[in-house]
Amino acid sequence: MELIIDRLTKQYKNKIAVDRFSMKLTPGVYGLLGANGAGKTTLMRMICGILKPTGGTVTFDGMDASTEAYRQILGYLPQDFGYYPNFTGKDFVQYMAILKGLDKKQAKKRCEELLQLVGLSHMKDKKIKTYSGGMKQRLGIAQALLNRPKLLVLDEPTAGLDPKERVRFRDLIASLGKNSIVILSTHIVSDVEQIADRILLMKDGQLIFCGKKEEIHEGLEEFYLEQFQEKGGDYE
Amino acid sequence: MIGGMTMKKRIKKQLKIIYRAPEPTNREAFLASLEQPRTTFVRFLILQSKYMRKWNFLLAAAIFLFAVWMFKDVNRQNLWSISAAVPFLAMSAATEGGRSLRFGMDELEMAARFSLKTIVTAKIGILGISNLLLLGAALPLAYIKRENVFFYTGLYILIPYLLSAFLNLLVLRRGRREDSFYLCMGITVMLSGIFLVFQALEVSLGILAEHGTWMALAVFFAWSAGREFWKLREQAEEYKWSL
Amino acid sequence: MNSFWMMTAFEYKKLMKRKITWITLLVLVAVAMFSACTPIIGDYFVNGVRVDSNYNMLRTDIAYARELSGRKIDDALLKEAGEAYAKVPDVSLYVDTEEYQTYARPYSEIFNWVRQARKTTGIETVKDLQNVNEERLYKERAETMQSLWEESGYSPKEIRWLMAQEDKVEKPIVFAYNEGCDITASLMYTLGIMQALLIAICVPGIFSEEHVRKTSPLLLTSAFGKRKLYLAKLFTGVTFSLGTDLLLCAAVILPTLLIYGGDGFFSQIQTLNPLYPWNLTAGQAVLILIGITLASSLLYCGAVCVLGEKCKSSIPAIAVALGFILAGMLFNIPDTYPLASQIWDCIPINMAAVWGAFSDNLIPLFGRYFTQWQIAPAVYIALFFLLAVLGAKIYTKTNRN
Repeated sequence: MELIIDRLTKQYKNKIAVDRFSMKLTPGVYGLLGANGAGKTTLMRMICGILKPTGGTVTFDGMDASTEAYRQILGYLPQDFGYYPNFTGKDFVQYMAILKGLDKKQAKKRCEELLQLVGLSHMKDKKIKTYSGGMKQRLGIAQALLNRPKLLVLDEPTAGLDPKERVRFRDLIASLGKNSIVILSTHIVSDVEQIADRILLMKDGQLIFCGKKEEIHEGLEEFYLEQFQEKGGDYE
Repeated sequence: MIGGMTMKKRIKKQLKIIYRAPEPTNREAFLASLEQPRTTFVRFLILQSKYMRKWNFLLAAAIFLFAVWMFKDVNRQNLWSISAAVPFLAMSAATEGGRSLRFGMDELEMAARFSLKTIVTAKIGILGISNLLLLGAALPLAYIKRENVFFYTGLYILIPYLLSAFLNLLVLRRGRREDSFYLCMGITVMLSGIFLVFQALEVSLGILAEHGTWMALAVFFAWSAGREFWKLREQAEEYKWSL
Repeated sequence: MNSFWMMTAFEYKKLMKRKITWITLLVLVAVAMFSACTPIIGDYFVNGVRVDSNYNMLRTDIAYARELSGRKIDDALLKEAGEAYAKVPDVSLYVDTEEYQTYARPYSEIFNWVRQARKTTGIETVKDLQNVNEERLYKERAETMQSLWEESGYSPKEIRWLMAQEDKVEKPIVFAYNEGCDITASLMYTLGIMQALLIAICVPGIFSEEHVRKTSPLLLTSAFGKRKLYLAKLFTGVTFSLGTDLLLCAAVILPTLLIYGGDGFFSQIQTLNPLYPWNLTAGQAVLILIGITLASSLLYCGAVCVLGEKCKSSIPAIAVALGFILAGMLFNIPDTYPLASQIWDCIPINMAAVWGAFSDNLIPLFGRYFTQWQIAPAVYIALFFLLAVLGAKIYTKTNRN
């Protein structure tokens, strides 16, 4: 199981959002860190095949990111997502299950399982518009796991989650990372510190660091701040 | 006999308590390695149609019944009334296809097996074709009432439908997601209003029946609508990049 | 006070920045101008054969009508017109004969007026103007009006009142070329449709957009307070509605003046329809219709603002407006239900039509009779104020923290 990202580039007019990003990923958890505008979301969208790169390729075990077969093994949680009005939590997850190609019976069973896993069983028949931000986020995590993805891409997955939910989430990701490739991007350094097998740091569209947290001698947070310190300015 | 069966049950129960099955390990990995049951494309279309808004079909039925009622007297006044109603059919099909964008579901759907492109094609295709069939089913009623009126009636029905389809698809493709739906609604209402004004002014489209002008117009609008639909499909393949 | 104008300016900025506002305005102004030009587009056919362009036909008819303008429809004119028509062969397509074009066509306006005044039914023939003198014409006219009032179920008191109005009308009626006023008056109906659509599409967003874009929490934390906010929004809606109504009126009137001229502004309303009992001029009729559309605009504005705020969306407002327009155009409540029929006749879409506004239906109030064109605008304005108060209540309630 291998995800190969080869010189992936995204250019928009006079701005290079992702600049020749190359990496080979194997099963494990990869924490993607970077400042706002570093290109993390753009990179993740290209990995998911929903944004066409200007150059380079993304393949998973030989399957190109634009193919249906690739999307069959993919689980994706975007940074910001909506929902159809009047959908309940259960409706939402079942709908996504159908889009992922699960048959009706299996979709129903899997939906129950995942809602239980993310702690939303008691809210499944309530409309999503009544959900808090954290509940919506958990719903998003549930839909990402529907098809037992081999490649799981999570963009800011812990945003809106309370500390207890974050701990639960970390445990879940850690378990998933044993048999799948999990890429998660976040601003919360402690999340990455706890669960990521490898840390990826992005700055101005480029990968500036890729390694285990043991390779960083100071704390990850200090290292992160050091990399993203503005010229002439301080992060306080 | 009965005693023997009861005994078997008791033994089974006791065995279950003594010899508890071990907890499964690597369950997820095992399940992930199994070939997932696949939904076929046809089955997906059927399931997708259940998620389409019911009012689309109700609206189509209402407009069909309205057309049948108007055909009781095939005159210019009534034909313009049908022309005023028909743009809403095209709008309902177009906006159904644009729902993903409107409600922010596009990114999730793009990453699914049956991606946004397939969903848009399915929704607009199903509704567009069913609307055209419904309108086509109403036309023979006009023919029964007045001979040689088939093409003439087609003028009043087909051209507004195709024009509305073209404009709505154009707006969906080029407009911002927040504005698109309201822009579609506004344009459709305006189109409908223009046909009502033509009704009040007793404007005749009979002049277009000469020299095949109406055929040319219908073909042009059909081609334009088809082109916009194709471009919308292609656009649905990729997330709209914005800085 | 400065803050109120500043907020209004921002509301206008938001309104005018929306693409749909401009698209709607431009398209409807174009349609309004087109509607004034439709009579001159295309050709005139008789029995499938092209005779001339509509424009040329119109120019000729206008010239003939201007020659007769200012003359009383009395014995002298009726005799002249009758003698001219007597020279035309009595055939079904008499308009296609050379005799008609040479002798009778200059008097075609008088011919049409007399047929309307006597409510002559059936296919028109050249004999319709034979043996018609002044006394007979006005007697038959009065009898026609009376029988129409009786058929409509008016009470004897109402009929007496209407006859008293008719007595104030100067007779014999002075014929005037006032095609400009006539066309403008008849186009007010289509203008009413367009104005309703324009307001329904553009105005509800002033309130609903704050909810759609989730900016209302930000607005409500402003120092100016909800009341001022609401008034600024309502003022924007009202001024936009009235302003665009005047714009559409201009889009109809200017081409009409260019094509037909402004003659006959002070001519009697009976030159538009011989059976009107009102002592009004054609110009006054046009101004009353414009006033009705302005009052309707206020009512529409109030209704769509309330719907936009209550439903937090523009769609119900558009649906209600379109529903009313369609219902007004397609359905009619028969006179057998007099009260319902009268209320239906007074809905804005019907009141914008010249036949609706100047209908003979009377409204009894405080022991007196009033006409529809007197009462309906006042009712619209009163309803607008009620809606404004209701809207304020909804706005403050919806946005309460």
